[in-house]
Amino acid sequence: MIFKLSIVFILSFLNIEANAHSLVSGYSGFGSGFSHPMLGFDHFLAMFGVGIWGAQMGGRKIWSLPMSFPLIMCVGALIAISNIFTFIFVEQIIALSVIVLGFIILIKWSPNELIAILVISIFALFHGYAHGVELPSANDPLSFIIGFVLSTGLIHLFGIGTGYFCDKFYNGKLSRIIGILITITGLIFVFRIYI
Amino acid sequence: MTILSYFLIRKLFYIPIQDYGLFESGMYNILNNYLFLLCLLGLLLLLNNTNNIAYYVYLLAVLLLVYISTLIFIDVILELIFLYNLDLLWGFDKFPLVILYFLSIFLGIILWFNPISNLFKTLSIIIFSFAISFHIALKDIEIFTLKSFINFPGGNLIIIIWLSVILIYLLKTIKKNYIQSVSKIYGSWLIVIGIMSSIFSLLY
Repeated sequence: MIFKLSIVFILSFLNIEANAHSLVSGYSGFGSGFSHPMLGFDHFLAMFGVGIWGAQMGGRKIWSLPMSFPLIMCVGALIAISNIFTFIFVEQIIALSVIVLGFIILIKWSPNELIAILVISIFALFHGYAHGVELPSANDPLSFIIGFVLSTGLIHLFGIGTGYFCDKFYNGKLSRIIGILITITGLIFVFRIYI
Repeated sequence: MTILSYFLIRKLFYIPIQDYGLFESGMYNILNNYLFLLCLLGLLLLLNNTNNIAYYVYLLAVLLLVYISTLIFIDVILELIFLYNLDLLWGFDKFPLVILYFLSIFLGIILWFNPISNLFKTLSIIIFSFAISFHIALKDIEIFTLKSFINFPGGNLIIIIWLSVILIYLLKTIKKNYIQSVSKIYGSWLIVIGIMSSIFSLLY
């Protein structure tokens, strides 16, 4: 019942405006913000990877990693909004984040909590910057913010759920297979940028 | 008896033609504001580990007391704001939303620590109630009277109570350990949304 209600709840937010009501900008409000990390597969896999990694390590790290990621992402987005300085190689580093996180899941790396947060913070900064660049062009930027933060968080939760579930099978090998797939997809992203 | 009850209910909820829609627009005011809904969910996550129904009734009484008091003393509060030039920070037109940004940050921080203490829960509900009441009072075109309370602010209140009851029952079905982890993660979302929205409003 809860599962069905959750699906209905999530789907109700995924509606987009009718074409007759759309303004000039490509980004409208909540729907665009929500779909940006979901449909941008590079964002999706990196955040999904963070969730799986947290679940793999267990303990406090299950929630400390997904908790830190949006906060650092916020700093990246604020740098983009305020235009303090421009980040370079944003696309490349986002693709690199997918490769690195996939590889970390593959080797089941379990470092100190602080180091784990530091690793995801570097990537979160660039993910946040990418969201922040699009923010001022949205018709309703404040709804866009709420949309992308919620979407990011839900992907984390999905990653935690998947990691928690997959870690129980074949001595955690299922999670590692997902890690391989994420790494390969990351390599394809890099390939696509340069070719 | 039935006819008498019908007339009593009709008298209570009768909306004169010139006020038609204010009650409904009050309900819609909550439902169409994402930040309102997120803050409400944050508050309910905080209150979830309460099992005592009497305590929920106490919290509802606090909510109502602060809600109505803020509406009654809105002029005094506004005078204080103008006195200390707080409206100049973000501009008065953005003030109703800025209140919600700060409420979102506050609830996020409280959710991080996830306090069991009843004092923090009462404090949270007082601040929540004050913030939403203030937000509603700034949007309401009428000067506060008992009649107007049944219209716009009453619509807001009904939907808040309605959503709260449903969500509390839904959250009760989820394991407490999961709720605790989710609360901390959700707290960080609220902080991020609050900080980003307030800075964006300041810049643009």
